[in-house]
Amino acid sequence: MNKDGISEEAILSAEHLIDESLMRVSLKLVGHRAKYGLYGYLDDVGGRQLYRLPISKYRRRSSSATGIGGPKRLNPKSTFNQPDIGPFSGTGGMASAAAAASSTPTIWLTGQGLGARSTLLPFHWRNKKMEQRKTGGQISAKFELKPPPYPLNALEPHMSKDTLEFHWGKHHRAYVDNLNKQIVGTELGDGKSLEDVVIASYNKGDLLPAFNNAAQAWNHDFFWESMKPGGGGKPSGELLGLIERDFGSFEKFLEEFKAAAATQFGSGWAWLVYKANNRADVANAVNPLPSEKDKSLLVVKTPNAVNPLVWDYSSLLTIDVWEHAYYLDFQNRRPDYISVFMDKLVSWESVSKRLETAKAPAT
Amino acid sequence: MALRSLAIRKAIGLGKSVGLGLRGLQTVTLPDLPYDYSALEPAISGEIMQLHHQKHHQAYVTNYNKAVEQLFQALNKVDTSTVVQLQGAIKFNGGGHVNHSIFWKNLAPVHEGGGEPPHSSLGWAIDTHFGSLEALIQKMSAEGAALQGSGWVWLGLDTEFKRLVVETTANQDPLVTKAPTLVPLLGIDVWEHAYYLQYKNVKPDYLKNIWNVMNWKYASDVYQKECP
Repeated sequence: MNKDGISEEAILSAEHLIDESLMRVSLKLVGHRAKYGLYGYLDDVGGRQLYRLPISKYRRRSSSATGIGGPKRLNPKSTFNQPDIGPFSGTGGMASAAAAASSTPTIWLTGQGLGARSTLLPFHWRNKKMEQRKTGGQISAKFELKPPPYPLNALEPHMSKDTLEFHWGKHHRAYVDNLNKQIVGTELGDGKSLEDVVIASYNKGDLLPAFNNAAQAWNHDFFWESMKPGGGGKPSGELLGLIERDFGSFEKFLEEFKAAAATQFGSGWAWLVYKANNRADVANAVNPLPSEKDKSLLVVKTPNAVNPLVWDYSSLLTIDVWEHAYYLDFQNRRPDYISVFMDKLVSWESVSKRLETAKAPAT
Repeated sequence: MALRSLAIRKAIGLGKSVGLGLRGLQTVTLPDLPYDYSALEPAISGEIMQLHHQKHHQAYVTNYNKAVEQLFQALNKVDTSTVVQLQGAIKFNGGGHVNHSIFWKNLAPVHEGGGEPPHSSLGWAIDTHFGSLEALIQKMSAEGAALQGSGWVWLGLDTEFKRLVVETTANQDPLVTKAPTLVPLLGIDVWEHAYYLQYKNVKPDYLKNIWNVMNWKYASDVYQKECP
């Protein structure tokens, strides 16, 4: 341990990983004193704060300002070679950095051109599931707003930075924040995964108030990961084979998917799903002889926040057709947005990976 | 003999379609706005008004006409499943046309009375049913903000009980789908296309500012016609 209580191991592994200039860096911290050091945090009222810290130097932060000691909040406007993570919120208290103390947290450092070791780096928590936090002695579990796996301007010119800033930075953020407010102190907030909250609040169609926010939080995570810079083109391998089997050809699939997206009246989503067909669609009926032949790909469309989780389908790809998803870039021209999405944005890698997961036998 | 009956049948067939054409299928057209696109600024930008009218409303008109044309043919052929299948497109596009036609009329530039509170019988009815105009405005704005997805928030008149109501409808469902006795006095479009370019995600600001261009005169006229 150095004098700040950070283990040498942690420091070395952090520096090593940073030197590799990875887009994303996973950093495991060892020990409780991690709060003095490598990460800064975030969130609380009003959204995330992004903190930057010099990795190579560890200074004990003054504990007076925050009461718990933690990273200094830097000027969010300072220019620096970093991806545009999203709008900084200017206010908000220092959240309990003792969050880290509860377990060995995973920290994601996102950066482009990480450069020299002493370069300041932006990073923030990433936690797909619930994060147990100690706040003044009470445990509260919260969902986090995960950023897209690319900078907000990375999808230009097909999807503008402005769109990402509002769509992710405002809309998606609001779904997550409002969900957290809705579930605190309830059964839904007792450590369930986001998927579980979606299904529980769907309540077999008799939607609970948290459904809209939970489902939209899930949908948007899924949506960002369905796209990538330089996306589009055609799928390959097993995925292409299944598409050709179940739709006739890739072109026919494209036609059906685009039509579904274009004809979803009002707000909603269009999906490519993998239907395992373990259950026949009649009450509690179970398929007595499930086989690979039964399982199929389908295109479905859903209104508002509904998603295929509620039918126990495995989602492979989605496109958001709420107007906020395309209005800044395409105004009323939804078909153009859909075409650009399929031609230039779809990440067939993500889709293939999801298919693999969907096909893997349940453990 | 056969030729003659064939000729007669053909003539009847022709007469049938011409007859139906003459008395049957009427198309709808996009109504003009009673003011310039920029006349509702700063509450609603000219850019939005133009897109909203020329693109969105026009699309509802075009697609409604198409759907009704197809419906007509399906009815002639007694193709019941197509008739049923077309109902979605008719409700959606027809509703869009109905709703937007009302919407343009229930907005007005400030210099033409937009934002001026209602007087006479409607004003009195509002005070009776909601306590005050402010209370009504707050209620409608709150309902509009809480509406998830796309839809409308309405001030309606229940013509059966002569009672004012605040209702929301989803997508382009007209108010009458909530109850056949409801007549719309004012409607606020809370589809994102109605405000996004100007207000982005801040729907509550749109719902606050739109009251500055609300045409209460239109609402009063409709009210007085139903409740003389």
